[in-house]
Amino acid sequence: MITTIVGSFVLLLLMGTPIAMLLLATTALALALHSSTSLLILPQQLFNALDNSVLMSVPFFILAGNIMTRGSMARHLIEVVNCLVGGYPGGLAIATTLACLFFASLSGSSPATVVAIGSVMLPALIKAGYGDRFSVGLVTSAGSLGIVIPPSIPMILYCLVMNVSVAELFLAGVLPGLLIAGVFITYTICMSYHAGWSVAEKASWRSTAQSLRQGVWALILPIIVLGGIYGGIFTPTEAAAVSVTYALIVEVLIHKAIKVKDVPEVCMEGAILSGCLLFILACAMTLVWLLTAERIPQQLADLITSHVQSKWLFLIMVNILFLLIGTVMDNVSAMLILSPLFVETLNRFQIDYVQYGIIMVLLIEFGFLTPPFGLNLFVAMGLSRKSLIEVTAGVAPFLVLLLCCVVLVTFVPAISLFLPKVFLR
Amino acid sequence: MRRTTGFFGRLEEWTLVCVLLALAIASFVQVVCRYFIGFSFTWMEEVTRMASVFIAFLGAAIGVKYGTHFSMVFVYERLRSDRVRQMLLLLVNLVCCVVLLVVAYYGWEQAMKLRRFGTLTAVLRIPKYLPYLPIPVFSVIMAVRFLMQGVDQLRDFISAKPFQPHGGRDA
Repeated sequence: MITTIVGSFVLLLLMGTPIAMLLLATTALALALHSSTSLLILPQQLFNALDNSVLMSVPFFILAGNIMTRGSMARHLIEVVNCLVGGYPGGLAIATTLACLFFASLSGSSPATVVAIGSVMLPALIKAGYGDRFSVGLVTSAGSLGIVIPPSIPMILYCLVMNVSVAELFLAGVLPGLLIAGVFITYTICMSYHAGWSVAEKASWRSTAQSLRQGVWALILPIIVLGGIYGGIFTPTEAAAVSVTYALIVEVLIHKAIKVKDVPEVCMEGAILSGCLLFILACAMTLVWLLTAERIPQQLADLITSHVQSKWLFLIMVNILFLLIGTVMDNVSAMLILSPLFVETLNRFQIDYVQYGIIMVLLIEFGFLTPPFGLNLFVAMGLSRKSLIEVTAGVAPFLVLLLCCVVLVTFVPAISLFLPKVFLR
Repeated sequence: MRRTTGFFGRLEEWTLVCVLLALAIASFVQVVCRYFIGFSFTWMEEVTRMASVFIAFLGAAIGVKYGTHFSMVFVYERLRSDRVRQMLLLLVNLVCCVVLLVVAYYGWEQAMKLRRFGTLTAVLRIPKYLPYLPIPVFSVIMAVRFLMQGVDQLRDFISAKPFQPHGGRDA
């Protein structure tokens, strides 16, 4: 059984089969060859995996992000933060990180954040003399905060395969996200003293008030969404639906940035992508069901605990494993398949699923910034018209900083667990 | 992103977007109603759950057309010969086609089984086999699309044309 699963999985993977199809093929083959269970279980498991109301929050958050990226909320956000911090050394760069931080609390995707903030900030940064390499690197890396600060698509997917509460994982992402943003800002300030970048004039109170009035619609959305979830007013899925509708109302009726007839066009790409994400999730959960029924997680746990005694060593190995896997396939699919396999091991080492989830999300963030699957890199290439090598070189110093943050979050559980423990447990 | 022009292609894309937007707005209205009027639609949760089956399979079917599905292209991008790549892609497309036909067959069996039992859903009291139907229907559509992409590769292989990847054509 295990040989069939691993064999067909690896073979199909190397052949370049779409991941969703190879998951289905592996499950079907293993069932047909080694099990007396009827293949009727296949559609049943696909259906059960999808028959869950939390799932719909994925397409909703993707759509909301698309609408806000095409609309004007990002621009108004940028004006607000620029008025607030633009007058300090490295101000424009700090404003970029803060704008990404804010936009991340509106959208659950990291490439969307790069597009939304980067398309405005990148030309501005280069014009202000921050240097091409630093500017591209900053925009690309800070945009990856999109999946650490709630809402976050990979977090919802993790919660679905691992049976964790979305509300808890969202809250757990806040401190790590702030930590990364803080580290990036500190680095920016150090760099700006070192390089002696020009300092812009401080914005007047009047223009700050003006920009706040425009930006208020973007600024209150995270309060509605997160306040609604933690105030017990609505579920995460409803929160996602609320942000789609809110984004539509603001962009179409108030800012008039999107015409009604363009709305389906704006949503099309995100809708197709979210369909594919849900499909791959269903296929992954079908294979996971089979593996669990065959007690593979237990066997894996026996194997790991017989060789690895400390939970820290296990976590380091998981980190390295995902960094390596990230070089051959995208980390979101890897997380969907591998995390449920480690469930039993996590139990034995008494590692909190929430902390492990945050580590996964940070590793996915890392994957977004490294070739060959770093989606953020490709988006930044499109924005800046630079080669993959130039963009990667710009991202490199931020990657080192990010890696330090991953290590910190791995070894200090409190960074991820403090907020959920105080507010939800 | 390239867009299809055919009637069916447009229909499936518009259905996907309209269903998603309608669900989002309906969910929003239900939150507002519940919070301010204290009235909520009990069927919303069931509709959302059934819709996610529909959306996953419909979205996946459209995704095949555009090559949106993630795959690991690591090995295959390193292949030098266009002929070998075409053969490999043909093989991959055939595997996908066969697997999806298996899913479609058993999906249909499962739906028909539920139909014979006459099971109804908990809230809306509609036949339970209906939400299962997107599984066989869109699996067949996906299988056909993979088959056609495979045939395209085979044709290029025979006429010794340069290699063209997934999603480069309309289905």
